Amino acid sequence: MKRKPARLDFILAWLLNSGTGIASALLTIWLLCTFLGQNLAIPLPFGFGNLSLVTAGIAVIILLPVLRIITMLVAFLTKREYQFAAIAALVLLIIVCAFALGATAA
Amino acid sequence: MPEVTHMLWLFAAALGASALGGMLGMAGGIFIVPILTIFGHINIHQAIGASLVSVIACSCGSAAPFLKGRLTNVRLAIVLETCTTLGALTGVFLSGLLPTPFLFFIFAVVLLISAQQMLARRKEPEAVATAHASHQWARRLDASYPDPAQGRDIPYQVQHLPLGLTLMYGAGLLSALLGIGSGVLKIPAMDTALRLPIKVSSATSNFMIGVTATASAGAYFVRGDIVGPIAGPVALGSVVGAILGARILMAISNEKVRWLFVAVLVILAVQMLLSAFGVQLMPGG
Repeated sequence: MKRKPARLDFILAWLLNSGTGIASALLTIWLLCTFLGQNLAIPLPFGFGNLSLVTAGIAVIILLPVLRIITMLVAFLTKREYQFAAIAALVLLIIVCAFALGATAA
Repeated sequence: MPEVTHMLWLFAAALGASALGGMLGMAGGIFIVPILTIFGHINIHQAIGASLVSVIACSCGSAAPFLKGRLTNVRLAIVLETCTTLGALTGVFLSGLLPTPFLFFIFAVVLLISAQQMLARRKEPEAVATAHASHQWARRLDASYPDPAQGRDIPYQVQHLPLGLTLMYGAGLLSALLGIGSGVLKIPAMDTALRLPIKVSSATSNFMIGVTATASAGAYFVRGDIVGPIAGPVALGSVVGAILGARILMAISNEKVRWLFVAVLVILAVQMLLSAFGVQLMPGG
């Protein structure tokens, strides 16, 4: 008996693959621009200034696993696997606490 | 801000480290911090920050084939991640308190244990048929994985979950403190405690490390220890290196790579020990 991968596995594979692709593309463009002496940046709305491509690439990498946990949380809720959904929510909470701990030390 | 040549050097160093790791099917994260601190003369906290970003990138970039091949146990991963992220939270807290020479010292110890683990090959854990009645909840984590040789699914059971969780807490702590993937603690956790088949444990621990490293990388990022011109080239180099490493894996003997890996680990361990005691062999830059 051979089973197909679960739908969640496919969604997570797609998410992680495309996220890494986007981050790598941002970092490659940034590196090439730096060699050429250019300083490209992404303008942010609401007067937040500009986001450099390298910061954007790193932010995508750091946020990708957070998105992965959120995707799993939603999938477990949809499948009514509430215990696993609660565990995913707990992991998300711990990550938020870690970010907050970094902010207090900044 | 580092110059363009410096960034190119960082990219190449990360590519080499990651390719070497990838050749043995493991993350090259353990090489990044020693290379950046010893040869690049980068502050250890910034080196750890850069390494964490590359660890996440490699974990996310290589997860897809394992997920599609049904080797990753996502339910077990999320359960273990509660402990790895808690460990990471503790590590972030401690990293600001521990003196730098002490970090170099722990790093040297971890490098030496990794070298020893590399020499003692991993054996497939023996499957234990009887499940502990007190850990019935763990049965919800049991699964099966496809074995191409036998052409069928092999079922497996998750054993000793509490011990596995405790070791994972330690792995998360080490990861945050040193910017590594913590194979050093995850291998005993997966093999000795949880008794997972090697393919499943490699896929699942690779999947988990992205989330574990994100907890600490996020904190380092907010704290300002992740410097774009250092972390950017390192992350990109690691992703490219991991892809190259997996390709080279097919072409050369595993035994030669194993010895090369052990030799590099021991050399870096000695250098990190010297740094811990304030001896600097490399000229300062």
